[in-house]
Amino acid sequence: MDCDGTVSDGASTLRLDVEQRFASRFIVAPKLDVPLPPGGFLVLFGPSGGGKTTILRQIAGLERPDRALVRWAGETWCDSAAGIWRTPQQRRVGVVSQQPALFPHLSVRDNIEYGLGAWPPDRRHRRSDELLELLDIADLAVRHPRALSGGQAQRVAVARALAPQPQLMLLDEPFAALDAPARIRLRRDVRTLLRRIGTPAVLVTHDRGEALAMGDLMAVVIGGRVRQTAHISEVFSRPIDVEVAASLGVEAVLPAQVVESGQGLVSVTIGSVLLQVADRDGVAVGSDVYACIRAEDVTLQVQSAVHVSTRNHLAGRVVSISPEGAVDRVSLDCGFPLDALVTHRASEELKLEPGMPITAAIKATSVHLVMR
Amino acid sequence: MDWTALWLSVRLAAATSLVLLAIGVPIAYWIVYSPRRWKVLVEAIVALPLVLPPTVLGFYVLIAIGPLSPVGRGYARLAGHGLPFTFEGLLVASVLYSLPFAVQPFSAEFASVDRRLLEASWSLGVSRLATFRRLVVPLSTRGLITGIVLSFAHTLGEFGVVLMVGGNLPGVTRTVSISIYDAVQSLDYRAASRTSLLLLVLSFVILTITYSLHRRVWIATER
Repeated sequence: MDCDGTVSDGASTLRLDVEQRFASRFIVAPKLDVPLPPGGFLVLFGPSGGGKTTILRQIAGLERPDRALVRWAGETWCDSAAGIWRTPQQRRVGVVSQQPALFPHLSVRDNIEYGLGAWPPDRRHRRSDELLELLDIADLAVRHPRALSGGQAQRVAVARALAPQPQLMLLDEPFAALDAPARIRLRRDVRTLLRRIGTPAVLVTHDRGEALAMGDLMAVVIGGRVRQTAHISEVFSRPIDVEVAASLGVEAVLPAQVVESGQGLVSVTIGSVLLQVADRDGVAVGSDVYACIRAEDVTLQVQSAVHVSTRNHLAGRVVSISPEGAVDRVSLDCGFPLDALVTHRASEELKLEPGMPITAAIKATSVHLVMR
Repeated sequence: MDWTALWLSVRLAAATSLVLLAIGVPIAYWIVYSPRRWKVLVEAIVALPLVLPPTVLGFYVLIAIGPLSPVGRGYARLAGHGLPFTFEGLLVASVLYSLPFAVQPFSAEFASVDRRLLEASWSLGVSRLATFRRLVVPLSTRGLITGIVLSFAHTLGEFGVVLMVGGNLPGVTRTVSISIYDAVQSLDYRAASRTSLLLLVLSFVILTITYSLHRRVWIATER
């Protein structure tokens, strides 16, 4: 591939320190300072209406806040204090939004070549050939946008954004409008492609599965602010506060590896612990996954039962017990951190206290695997 | 029928439309994309001919291009003769008179181009001006055609402004509507009715074509 010498070896830093006030009094004031390696993904995750899209637009230069500092890979894109402003054209970013926004008067090929106006025609053509190939849309080259399905149109939008070799891709829920099969296929393809050509990306999503499938780093955006930025498994295992935890959902998300598969069950290892999981998605042996376990699906027992239907019995220790309304959240250490929700009464009957040994039981059907 | 007058009117209308295409597009572009607050003033000025009596407009144009104004004197020095009562003088007046008929359809169509397309274009590194040329203009062909056709039709039928600025010189400033007025004044109702009918049919055909463009009756444009 001759596609991208644009990013040098090593990570480039994205730095953001912005305050933008809207007439509605909503304030989007993100602070970010994250290194993005070539092909690395930063996920802006959070509830709808939290300002994720605005943050992406601030990076792209489509918003011009009154007070802002935006830097990428040592280039200052915006520094309101120093009066520096780079237009969207000067930033060389590739933007893909939920709406493909293809140019309706141009064919698929002309859409892809649109940003290559300054290139010599033969080079422009080679580049669009390459992208048509990479995104598996070569047979659509002469079509017009209105004759495309949603998934096809979004592929063209990705190809068009990649054509001028952007130094950073900005993806604003680009898969959200697609049906499930198309969505899963396209996001896997885009992930693989960007990794291969080494272009880093910032992805906005409110879909947890998508965040897990795409992200390396994650920034949780709530109420116009970045509340936590860390590696994705770190955010899930150690959310900084309850609001962040609530936005993530209640599940434990654990990095795991598939070691065995057969008879409708797959075995995954989380560290040294083996877990059996109902095989719903047909994951391949050897693949890296996240195992997601909801706290309410974890039952606790003091002695290990022998003949019950529950597949997984994990020996562990109670770390802490904290009341949450009608139930207690019991944090366990089973070789990995895991939470269980039990009623007060059960908690009393089991005489739970920090440090005591315990067995956590999890049905094979209660564990969800997400590809990573 | 006064063919000389008809031919003059067609020439005047065609020239007016061309000039309006050349100056109307930049004006409409500025109105749509300028962040300036006072652009409403420009919009109001452009729309003035819609409500002003043609005699008022014609009066000011006459003063403006006459020998007493710097513009009129400058032109007279360059061209060797004054602007009033010439074809060029009529052209200046017609352009002003039909300005809203070109600028309003242009700017309405420019403004209707989806902002997301513009932003996509900018992010692809294409300048604002090139975005206008490569994206906005091709997507605005219907508005451009409408503006041109409407200013053509409007100029074809103008009367008051012509009378004020051009007078009634056969082959120079006697347009078809003046010729009809003349015919009626000399009680030649046959000539007046023939020319009137022709103008009526012509205007009707032009407007029908324009509206069919909008309704996409015959021409399928992509949006």
